Parts: sequence; structure tokens; C-alpha cells
Amino acid sequence: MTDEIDEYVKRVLEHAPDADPAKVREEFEKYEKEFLLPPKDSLRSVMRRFEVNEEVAQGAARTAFREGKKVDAFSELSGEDSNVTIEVKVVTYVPRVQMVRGEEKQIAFGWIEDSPYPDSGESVRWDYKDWGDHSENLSPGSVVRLEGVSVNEWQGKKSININRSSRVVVLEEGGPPVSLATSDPITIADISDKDGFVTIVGRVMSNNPTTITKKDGSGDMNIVKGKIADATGAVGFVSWDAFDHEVGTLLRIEGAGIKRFRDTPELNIGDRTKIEVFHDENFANLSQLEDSSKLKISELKDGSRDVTVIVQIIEWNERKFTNSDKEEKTLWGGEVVDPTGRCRMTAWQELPIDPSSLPVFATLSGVRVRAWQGTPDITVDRADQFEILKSAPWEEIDSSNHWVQHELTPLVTGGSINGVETSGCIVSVRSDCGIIHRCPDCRRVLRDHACSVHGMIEGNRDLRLRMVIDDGSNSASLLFNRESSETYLEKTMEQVADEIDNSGSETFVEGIRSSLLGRHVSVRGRCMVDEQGAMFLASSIEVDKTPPAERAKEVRAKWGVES
Amino acid sequence: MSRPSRQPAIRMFAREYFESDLIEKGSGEYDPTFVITKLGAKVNRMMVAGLLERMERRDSDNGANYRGAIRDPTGLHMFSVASFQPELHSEMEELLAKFEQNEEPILVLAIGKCNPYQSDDGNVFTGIRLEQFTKIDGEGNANWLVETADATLRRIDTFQKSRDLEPSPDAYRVASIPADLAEGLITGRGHYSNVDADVYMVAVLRALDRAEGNMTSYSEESEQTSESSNEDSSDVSKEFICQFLLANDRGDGIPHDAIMQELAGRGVSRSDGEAAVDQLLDAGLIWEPLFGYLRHIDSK
Repeated sequence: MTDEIDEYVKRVLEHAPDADPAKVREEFEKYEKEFLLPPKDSLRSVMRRFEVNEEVAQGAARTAFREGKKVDAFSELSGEDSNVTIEVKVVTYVPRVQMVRGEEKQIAFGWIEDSPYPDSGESVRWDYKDWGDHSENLSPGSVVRLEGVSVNEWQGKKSININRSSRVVVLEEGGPPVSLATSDPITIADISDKDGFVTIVGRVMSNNPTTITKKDGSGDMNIVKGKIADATGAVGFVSWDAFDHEVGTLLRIEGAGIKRFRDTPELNIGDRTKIEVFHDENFANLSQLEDSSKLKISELKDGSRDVTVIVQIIEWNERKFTNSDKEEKTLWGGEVVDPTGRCRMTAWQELPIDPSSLPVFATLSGVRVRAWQGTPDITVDRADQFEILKSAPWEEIDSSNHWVQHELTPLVTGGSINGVETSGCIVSVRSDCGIIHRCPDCRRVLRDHACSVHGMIEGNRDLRLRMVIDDGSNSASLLFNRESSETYLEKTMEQVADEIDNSGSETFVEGIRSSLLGRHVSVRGRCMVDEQGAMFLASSIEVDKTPPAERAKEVRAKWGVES
Repeated sequence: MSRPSRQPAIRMFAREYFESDLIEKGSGEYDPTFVITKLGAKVNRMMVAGLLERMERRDSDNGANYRGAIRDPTGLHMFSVASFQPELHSEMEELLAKFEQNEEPILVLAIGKCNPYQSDDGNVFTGIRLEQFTKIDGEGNANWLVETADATLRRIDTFQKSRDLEPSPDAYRVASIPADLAEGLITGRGHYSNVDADVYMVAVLRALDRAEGNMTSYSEESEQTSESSNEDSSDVSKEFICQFLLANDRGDGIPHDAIMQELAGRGVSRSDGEAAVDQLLDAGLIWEPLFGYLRHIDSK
């Protein structure tokens, strides 16, 4: 067991080799407990107690804190190094409550990599331990400068100790900070923006034991996959241990890890997870939860599985293809809608759908969701997951004019979705609106007649508009392809090209700015959300022409400030 | 890993922004700078509009830069275009030429980022560095007034709701304080004291009146009453401005904003303060050697 104090004990022993390490430790602990002095501050006094002469003590204290060792790579470090400064990328951060000499301490461990910048060469990965509760600054994905950390060597393997006195400077932000291991339960809906370990209370919705074959060929392993739900939603889980709780059991699960597959979080139940049966008369029962765990199209996320959704099928085709084993396969697919949106659906077995008598209403249960270019695609693996509804659950949706209204903020913070209408102000009309040339091979935009992949090449002319739409709290890039640009501008691409040739692209962009910048608009199209942010592919845009006086009256009424 | 998302453009009246003096800079190298207003708006990017009231070019060693002021019903937004924004310079020249021709009022709508400056003595001057702008017509201006009134009313409403809460993220979340305002409100509470949301309500009502085409009602009446009742205080303000200029001028003049800030600290509104400055300028007691800088004629 090493921790921060060990580092200081080591340092004292360097100067007082005859001292008893246990006594030195005791001394540090006394300072810490009785005088609330961390070892950093008590080092000099402790040294003096062990009869290290004053000059040496001062010198040691000085070198320990002033003359740190600044390195670029782990390879420059030896097992004896302390007070090291290095820039690293945080790969993982796993918090843990650990008993340290009879006290519960919040510590964390994980991986860090040196040479954190893409151009700084090969990265080496080391383990680290965080003794100082730096979780705020050590979120996975961030690049940080560690100051005053020390090297720990055990059985030839070196790792980094981040101590309480160490400083962590964030150079590049990573993901959300990892939530600390806590035993307070959170709702399942709250899992979606968390990482790390959580505690939840939920009811077992499904429980499917399966066997997986280990990748290293060392044999098979029994695991349990399933779903657990509370009133706020449902989440899939994987248990690596025996899990014999029947469907319907209410459980309190403490210390389950969150793993993500694509956009979908999943709970990992391992040997450190505590599961106990929970009693709560008022907790939603199984059938209530089954109802609430039915998803709408707007709620589908890439990577979800075991999903139940009701759809109206508006288009259905058969498609044959040859797979990599040269077998001919048949695949069925089409478009589906519900009152919240539109998406694709794919089936690997033939379903009783007659393409000539659409629309068909159906319940899909236990299906998976993949996403392609931001549009969810519901995958039906087996015909028994599909059930035709005899009566329509909603009034038939006219798919040619089905635009579901969404406010911008929930839209950009939710998943990708097709067939939506939203509104906001245009806060930027980018100066690269207009005519561009695309690489004929990869459709990348050419810069100076060259594609970044295929080099100098004769490009295909294209027209596009790029803007930003914003509701004052959130924003999305707004893109118009050639077709929707032409519709909005009421000009063909050729006319636009002529206009730009004659009066310049600046005048063209200024023209769009003067009609759109700051204007309240509504747009229809498809919204893609990924780690780059939200992108709205517009098929049409309409400027709000409501007279300002009328809008002013609406605002007065909304906030109760009538004149 | 997720890239920091684009900062939203907060619809902001001049008064709310001008009266802010809380700057927040993140610890990371590329963290954006924010100005936190008394109503809890955490402003990095904003959308402003109004009458182009002042504009000038300055030439420096690094090239030209531009400064100006946009007036909305609540006060002035000071903006700048730096020498390192050459993409805006030709449009700025065009605008400057129009401004100098002085043939017709120029209404502009601008998107920009906060560019606050804190002087050595701790005064904060809030400015905007332009990103994009366009000339607008009266209707466009009215639309902006409504949009901004709506956003300001939301902030006033949230501010009132949050007043009695314990200043912690959890308490704010439980009370459904919108996430985009909670942080600024909590930070602001530790900095601003005795915030009077009513002054912003007056600004909003004035803006809505204007948007409804109603110029004579509320706004002017209240201004008239406040002016007549403030006749004595206007003399006090003038006297104070003279004293302040004489005491603090080290030869380059005093920034206009610094005077307004001082007056605001004494409970004098920006419009009253500007009126006082105008009267002093007319009387020839103070002058403007450099755009935005004022000197007393007796200053050394």
C-alpha cells in the first residue's frame, strides 16, 4: 500500500537512513491528524525530529517542491522520481472508495498516456492513482498537465501517483467529469449523461442468460443480459456474475459501471457491484413500466437494444445482396413514421407486410437500433418481433407532409431525428456560402482545386448554404444542399454562379445576411447530432413574417406584462 | 470526445450588459470568457441591434481597427472590430462611409463576442467584438426588440424565482431553474448585491412599446418625470463628473464608460449620466480629445 505519505517517508529516509520507517510515518500522521498539516507542510519538522541537520532538511524541502522534474515522456522517469511535471491525456478515471488505514477514502485509478498531442509521436500508457480527489480535472479524454506527481514502482511496473498536493491543469477539456462512486441512487434517465459508477433502484424487465466465447480462446463465459427500468426510463445491463433475479423483482444496484455502446449507456454488473432486493410499495409495477418503456421514434438512440416501438410503415421493399461469403441474401427495408418523427426500418427475416397495401401499423418488440448518417434504423432480426396492429393507434399520418415540431434546445441535446421542424434566429451566415467544387471520388470540398485525399482534380460544381440557427440557449449548424438552396434563393445553381462571377461572393453572402441574419425563422428537415454538435440539414426555411407588434403582444401575454 | 459546443447568441439589451462587472475566465487554455450579468445571463456571444450612434477607424501599428456604439432603448452597446479581423474591414469601411455621409439613420443588427476589459483600479468595461452584422430596417429592429424583450423577461422571471433558493446547483435543479441560467445566477449571487430587476423590467416595457410602434407612452413619460424630479441631481451629476475628471485624468482623458460606471455606482442611470455629459460638452466645460475619452478643460 503506498500513498502520499509514503512518498514523504521515502524522502525523509534518504536523509536519515537509520530512522524507522514506521516511526516516520507515525510522525507524519500525527501532524496530519492533530495539527491538520499535510506532509508537504510538515516535512521539514519531521526531518528535524529524525535529526537530519537543518541545512539538509531545508535543502531537501526546497528541491522537493521547487526543483521539480519536467519531462515529456514516461520513458524519462525512474522509479525514484517525485515532484514530476508532465502533460498527459486521461484515458480512464475510475473512482473507488478504499479503506486506507481504517478510514474510507475517495481515490481513483485509471490510465494516462504521455505525448498527448496527435503530432507528438507514439503515446505510452501508464497506470495512475489519484489520491487527491482531482476528479473534476481528470475527465476521460482531457489533456492535462500534472504538476508535483510522483512515480511508484512495484514489481518492475511503474505508475504515477497524483497526490493531494499535486496540481492538475486542464489544457484541453474532455468529456463530462466522472461522477464519484456514491451510494445515493440516481434515476435511470440521469444515467445517460454520466460516466463512472452509479447506484440505481429499478425493476428487472428482462433477464436473458447467454454464453460468450472469450476472445483470447480461454473458453466460454456465462453472462446475463437484460433490462432494468424505473419511472424515468429503462437501461440495458450486463452481469458478469450470477444474476438470478426474476423479471419483476425490484432491486437496488450499488456501484454498477456505466459502459457505452454507440450512444446508448449500459450498466455493467461485476464482482464489486452490490445488489439487494428493494422494497417499495409505491414503485411502478411491471406493466406500468412496460408501457413507459415503449419508445417513440424521437427517443430512439443509436446502439439501443431490447426496444419496443409502435410504427406506421409507409414504404417497404425487398433487397437482395451478396455477402462476403458469396451467399445471396435477402433484406427487407423501408420507412416508418409515428407522431414524433420518421426513421428507417430493416428486417432480416420476411415480415407479413404487403407493399401494395400500405400503410401498415405494427408493434416491434425487442428490436435493436442502429443509426446511419444520423437517422435511426430499427433492425428487426426475427419475424416474431413483429406484430401487426388491427386498429390504427393514431390517425393515419400523411407522410409526404409529416413535420414534427420540436423546440431547438431539446432537438440539439437529443438524438438524431428525421422529419422535424424547428425555429430560432439565424445568428451566422458563413462566408463560404455559395458555389463550391467537390471531389468526384469522395465528395469532399476542394480547396485551391485540390482534394485533401485525392490531390489536384477536376471537381464537380455544387451549391450550398451554411448558417447557424440559435434559440438563445443552444445552436445548431444549418445546412442547405443544392436543392434546398435553389428553392430558398429562387435561383438555379447556374444563376447563382453567374451572380457570383459578376458581383463577387461577398456581395452574395451579404445579400443572404441582410435577409436572414437575426431573423426568426422556421426550418424543416433532418437533424443529426454527434460529438461535433448538432447539424440541421434543411429542406426548407421560412422567415417569420408575424408583424412585430403582434409578436410583442404575444410576449406580453406569455410573461404577464400586458400594457 | 465532444468538442465544446458553440456558445449561443444571447439577446441582450445594452443596459443589462453595461451594468455587469463580473468576468469569468475558464482555467483551460481555450476556455471562453464570459460576462455574467446581474440577471444571471452568462454571456459569451450576444446578439444586439439598434441605431449606429458612433463609429470611427483607428490606425495602429497592427493595422486598422474600428470602434463604435449602437443605441437601443436602454443604452449604448460599445463594439469593436480588431485589426486581426480583416474579413470585416471592407464592410466596416463601407459602414463608416455611410455613417460619415450622415444622410440617414443607420440601423444595424450585430452578433459578437464579449470583450470585457478590467482596468487596474478594478473597473470593468463591457464591450463587444463583432463577428457578423447586417444593416436592418425598422421592422428588423422591432423584431429584435421583441426577441430581446422575451429573453430578458425570461431572465427576470428566473432571477425572481431563484432569489430565495439556497445557492447550490441541486437546489436550483429541484426548483427547475433552466440549466443555461442556473450557473450564472449562482455565481452572480456571490458578486452582485441588491440587484433591482425592476430597472430591467422598465427597459423591457420600453422596448415592447417601441416594437408596438408606441413611442410616446410609458417610456417618455417616465423619462420626463424622472428628469424633472432629477433636476437637482443632474447638477450634482455634472459637478461630480467635473470633479472625477479633474481628479483622475493623467493626461489621456477618462474613458466615457468609466464615468458612466462611476455614476452608476452613485445611482445615476446611464441616460441621465449621458445627458449630463452632453450638457457639459455643450457648455464647453469638458471636451473629447479622442473618441470615447473625455477631459475637463482645466485638466493638466
